[in-house]
Amino acid sequence: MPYDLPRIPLPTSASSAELAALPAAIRRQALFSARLSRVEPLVEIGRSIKGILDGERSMSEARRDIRRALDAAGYEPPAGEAGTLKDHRSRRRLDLILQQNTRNARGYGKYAADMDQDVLDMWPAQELVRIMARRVPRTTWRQRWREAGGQLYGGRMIALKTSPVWVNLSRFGNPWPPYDYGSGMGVMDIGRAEAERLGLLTPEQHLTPEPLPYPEVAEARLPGLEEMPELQAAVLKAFGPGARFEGDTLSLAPPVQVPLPHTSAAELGYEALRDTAVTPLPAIVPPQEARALIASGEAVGTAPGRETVSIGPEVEQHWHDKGYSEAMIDARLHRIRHALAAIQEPQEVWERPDGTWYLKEFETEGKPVRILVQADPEGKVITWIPGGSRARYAESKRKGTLLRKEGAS
Amino acid sequence: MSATPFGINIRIYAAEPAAALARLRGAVAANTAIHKIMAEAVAKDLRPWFVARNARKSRHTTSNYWAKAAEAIHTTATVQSGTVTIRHPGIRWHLEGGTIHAKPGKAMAIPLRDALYGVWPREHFPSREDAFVFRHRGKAFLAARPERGVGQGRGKRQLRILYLLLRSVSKGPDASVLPPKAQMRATANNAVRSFINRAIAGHTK
Repeated sequence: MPYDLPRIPLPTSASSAELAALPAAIRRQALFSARLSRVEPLVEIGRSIKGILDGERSMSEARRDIRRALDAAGYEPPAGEAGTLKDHRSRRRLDLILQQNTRNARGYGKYAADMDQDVLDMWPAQELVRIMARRVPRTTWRQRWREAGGQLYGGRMIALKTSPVWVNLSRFGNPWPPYDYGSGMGVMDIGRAEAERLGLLTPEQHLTPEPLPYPEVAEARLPGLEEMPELQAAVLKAFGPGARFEGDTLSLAPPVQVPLPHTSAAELGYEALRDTAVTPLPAIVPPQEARALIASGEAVGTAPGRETVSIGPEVEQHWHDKGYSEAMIDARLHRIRHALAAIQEPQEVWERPDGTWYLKEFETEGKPVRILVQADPEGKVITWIPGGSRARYAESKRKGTLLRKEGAS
Repeated sequence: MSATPFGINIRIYAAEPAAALARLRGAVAANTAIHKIMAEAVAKDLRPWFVARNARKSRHTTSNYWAKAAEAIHTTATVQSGTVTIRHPGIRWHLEGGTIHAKPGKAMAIPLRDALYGVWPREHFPSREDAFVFRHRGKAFLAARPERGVGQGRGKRQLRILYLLLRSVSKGPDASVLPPKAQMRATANNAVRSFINRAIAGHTK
């Protein structure tokens, strides 16, 4: 089992706000730092992170080696910013890069181990706790937890490891810590007996592990330039003409300004959703697991600073009222994680007379897999429509007011 | 228990529980699964152990040495054994003790201020001119060049001692770095017992 997540160097002239618009699937793979457009220092950063993860290199050694690489590449800090957080040679910036990346790699390693069926069965839940001491700890975690759809158990922030709460909580869209810049919060396992006692699940209940994002990258162990062409292709696929590479360096076009009223994807010249899909397919879960998630109140999709959209029991009632068969309802419940992924990280969001539509297609080999989620103005999901073959139906929903587009601000 | 050049390995072997599970899953899968569960159980016991130690011992909030150790735990499992590895600089020294010597003609610099944890003197002082060795009662310190004070002490020269310089640092073994072996064994055994019971009851996949 890999215990760290090697990342591929991606030099870029983009700012941190622009990079935040990259799909999480790309951000997980890419090793970048805002406005660092030289590949050699990024390679050294990758090497240093690996050295720290292996316990072979200290932070001080890493900072020294990265500064040398920056000097060799002729790096100059932005005018008037020497020594500040915007200066890649400064200790603050280098500590931020190294600490965030090492914690992220270790967080991924633990997540990967926890997504083993036996391990998930024995330790199905985890608690959000303070791991690292901070001089001035953030006091907003409990509020963020509630906004992310999390429940409190005797004041403790506990959820099943497969709950969408963890992704909702994260500024980076990852279910593992760190959940924010400079955060000292982490997770502690909750064993099966305690999870059952808290009512999180029953003795017979199993959780479906989420497939590991990019296992082939995780197995590589060394951040390598050889994977860079594939990563560049993924970025170009997600952004289309909004991104370009000059040499190895990524530039992002100014984001599309939204909302855009009275328009359609065809009018805007947008490609089909499948042409920009880069997110791997989430797991399909048994209907009873989907129902348990809905009953828990944690079937919520959001992100820090974004609206909250929740899935309640009225969705299944809506399907019954429409006269759907049990098999049809089960087929939809199977794909609850697809629906949540569409809400958490949609490719497009359209406001239409019949509600707000969250559209997403996943990157798959062969048959396309897409999901359309319809929500009411109060942020309650009305229905979701999974499908692979009804491309024309999906296209019909790409009309109205464009509220959000992947890569747009 | 064994040591790697940069960390600690805790190795776990299981024969009896593996035989019970082998009847359900086959020998190879059962052995690996048992070792994985035992190793994970120990790892999941170690993390809060280190976090609690961090809360007790981390005088420097910028260090968080033991919290980082908690996050540096990972497990591996094979048919033969399970392993819990903690790859963290100096953790083996904390456990086993010993003497660390400075390189010939050099000294080790122990930071005396919170903000300097993890920062080499060479990084803190861009030029040799910025620092000097200050000796006091047989001890050597690295101090910043006195500079003009500001505020209340304006006009007075201020001495800022930043590092203690030592030829070597010795430390005895500290068994409390890890939970007692009996506790780790009990944790692993309890976990595997629950796992087997769930398998026999048909509750595992």
